[in-house]
Amino acid sequence: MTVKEYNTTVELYSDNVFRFILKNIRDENKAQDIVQDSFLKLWQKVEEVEGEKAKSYLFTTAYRTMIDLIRREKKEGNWNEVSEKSYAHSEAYSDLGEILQEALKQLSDVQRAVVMLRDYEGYDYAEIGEITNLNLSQVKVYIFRARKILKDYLVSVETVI
Amino acid sequence: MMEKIDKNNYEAYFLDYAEGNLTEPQLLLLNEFLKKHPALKSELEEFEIILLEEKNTSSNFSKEQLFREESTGLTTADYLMISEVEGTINKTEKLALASLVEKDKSLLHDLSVYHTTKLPVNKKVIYPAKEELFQKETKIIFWWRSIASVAAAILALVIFNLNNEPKVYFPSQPSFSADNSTSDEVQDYAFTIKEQPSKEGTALLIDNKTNTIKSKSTIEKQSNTSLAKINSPASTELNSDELEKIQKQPFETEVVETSNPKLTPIVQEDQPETLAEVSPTKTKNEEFVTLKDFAKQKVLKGKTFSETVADELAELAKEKLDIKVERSKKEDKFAVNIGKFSFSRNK
Repeated sequence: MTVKEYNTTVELYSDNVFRFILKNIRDENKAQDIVQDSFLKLWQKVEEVEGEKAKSYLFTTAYRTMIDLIRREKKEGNWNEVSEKSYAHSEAYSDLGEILQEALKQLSDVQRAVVMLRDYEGYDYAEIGEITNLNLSQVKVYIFRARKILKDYLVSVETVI
Repeated sequence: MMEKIDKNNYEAYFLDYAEGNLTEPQLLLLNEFLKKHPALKSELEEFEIILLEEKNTSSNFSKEQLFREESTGLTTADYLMISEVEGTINKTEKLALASLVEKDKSLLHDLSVYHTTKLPVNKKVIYPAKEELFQKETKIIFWWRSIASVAAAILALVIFNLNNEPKVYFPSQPSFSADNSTSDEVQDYAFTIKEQPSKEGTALLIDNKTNTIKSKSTIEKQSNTSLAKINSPASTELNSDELEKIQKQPFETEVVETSNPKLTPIVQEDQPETLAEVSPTKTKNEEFVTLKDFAKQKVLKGKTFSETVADELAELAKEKLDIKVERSKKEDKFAVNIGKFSFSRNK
């Protein structure tokens, strides 16, 4: 991968990676750190990573860094506090987007990540498997169950409204 | 037969009404009761709704909805609807879903909700520190060029060192040449020490026994008159002091370059008497091209060796390359400038 290709990757995918991480962990500073860290790792391997694989490499790195962070914070107890705080606002819905954001909180970390990779980036199951280190059927199960949970949540909110 | 409707039993009436079990007299009684208690009308409507939903549910019940899909553990309906949303549904599954929806219209609503689970991309979310991620392209090129420059510089130094190794002279003793081009009537000889081997057809001979130098040009055009003058002892003899003085002069290492074809080297010979036997050889100067001259003309193409090496290295390093060589009697100075690097050496 050339420097030019690397810079093109920055141009094309830095927003996407940031969006993906931010939606998952809902912490802008940490999301920025993860994005920066991911691109640094890509730059360190710039001669090994092929241009067309750069996006996949980037998302894989970002995802794994994020999962490590989530696990570490859960272990330290920070994650639950963040989660509860954000849950306190769950009744203040203004549109479907916000309801969906709340619905996403019902998902496990892996479920949320695979659905986001699917919807935000349009990855197929195999690509998501590569990024998340899951096999094809695991990815499918995670996505299908996640959609069922999201749907049930939306129906429940619909009933309340 | 039901009792007369009142506040204690009206719910049973409401239920029978909703189920359509009331007779006309009972309906009249119900109407009269509701006129007296209008607040209970809404309660009766709720009974009707609940009953209607129950009827719908019971009528649309299908045991197919109870089946579970093997891989996900979801009901068949959910699995098929999600497959539809995911875009992974095949023709058979599409027909199965259509069949289910036909039997249970409420699945259409579920399907629309499933479609809303697709997360919309919010393009407004932008990574704020993107500029910090870009890398300058020149960074890598710079290092490659630097490496090339350093390599070129080292190579240049190696070449110069090789070039300045002690030369092997042939003959081992310095020889002398005389410039007799200024005039046919040679009176003075400007002696310079030559580095190159002598050529055939010598012009001057040194008699070691008498310490005299005798000259004879073999160049074709030289006149017999001048030869006679050159051979005249009065004009060519050097005494021993003069010869010693000449020999003590410092050697000029620079090769004498002259366009004068008459400048010819000489050799020392122990047998001066052979002079008479040496006959002028009919040769042209072009036939005596030395290896060095050949290299200058054909390989270096008029440039000096340093200039040629500099040009080649500059092309290799893709940098401006400048090589300066200053020669003096005391020392030689080499200076090499390649891009940002410069080296110099005194020898």
